Amino acid sequence: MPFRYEELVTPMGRPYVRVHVSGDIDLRDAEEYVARFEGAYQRRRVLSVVASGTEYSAKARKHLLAMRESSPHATVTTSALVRAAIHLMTRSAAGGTYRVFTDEPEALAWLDDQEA
Amino acid sequence: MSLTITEARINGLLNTLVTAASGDYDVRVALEEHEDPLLDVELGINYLLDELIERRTQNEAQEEELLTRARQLARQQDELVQALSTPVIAVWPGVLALPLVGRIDDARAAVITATLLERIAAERASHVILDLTGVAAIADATMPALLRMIRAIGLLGARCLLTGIRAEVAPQIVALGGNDLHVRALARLSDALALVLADKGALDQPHR
Repeated sequence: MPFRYEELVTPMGRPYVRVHVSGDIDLRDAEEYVARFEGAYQRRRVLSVVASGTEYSAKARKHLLAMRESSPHATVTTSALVRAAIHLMTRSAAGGTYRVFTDEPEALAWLDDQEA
Repeated sequence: MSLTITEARINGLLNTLVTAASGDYDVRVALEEHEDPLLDVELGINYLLDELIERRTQNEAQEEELLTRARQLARQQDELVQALSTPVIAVWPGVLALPLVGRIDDARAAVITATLLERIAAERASHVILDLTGVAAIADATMPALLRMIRAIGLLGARCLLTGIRAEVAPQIVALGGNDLHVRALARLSDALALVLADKGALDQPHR
């Protein structure tokens, strides 16, 4: 499973979803991800931790791009390649507050400051 | 932001672009974990190539689908033309009429003959009226084909009559050996039908 989900609470007591991302992400994975965030996790803050070597297929990228995300989303990665991929995918995404970090506590602090 | 780019990376980008421009979309920029904005450009080019491959695959699938559809339509058209080119009509029990239209070459004559013989056998036809009203000219290949058709009809025990031979067509028939046909020729299809019905005792015979 390229996506692993945890429902957690920020230090300020705000609920968020922590998603651990790794491996090769295909369309089916992307569809499952979008279904969760347009369903049960709608409007929930998101913190995604993306491992080095994570790859998104072209169809998965397109599907993720089509998602209408409005809640704050922080991505943590130490990989320059993953960061570039996230930059490209979020560049044309409309709406949503999105930032990429290298450090998880810093990302969580930013997420806590955001208005959902 | 200042950016120092090595010549190797620029060469890598250019080589990828030149190869892709020649139609080879399988090429990719070799990526390394560089902490700079050029990595976004390099990855963006690879994403673009992914998209080009996907579009090409879609186009090929659509092209194949269109070709299949075109072949299917051509086959249906052939079947329709074949059906329309051999409209064998049962004008009376045991009497078939076949209006011939257009040029009749060997291939078409073979199809017409096969269809006609099948109907003669199926309906135990005693008479066949070949109406040439729609034949404006007899081509060199038409006459032998017509002769073969008439002989085949005779072999099944049916009598053949020709109608609707145009004034300009009659000399062509003679010139091409139509004298050997030994069939009764009448002006109109209705004349032939009247003759046949008289033969069958269904009508007073108007012609002798």
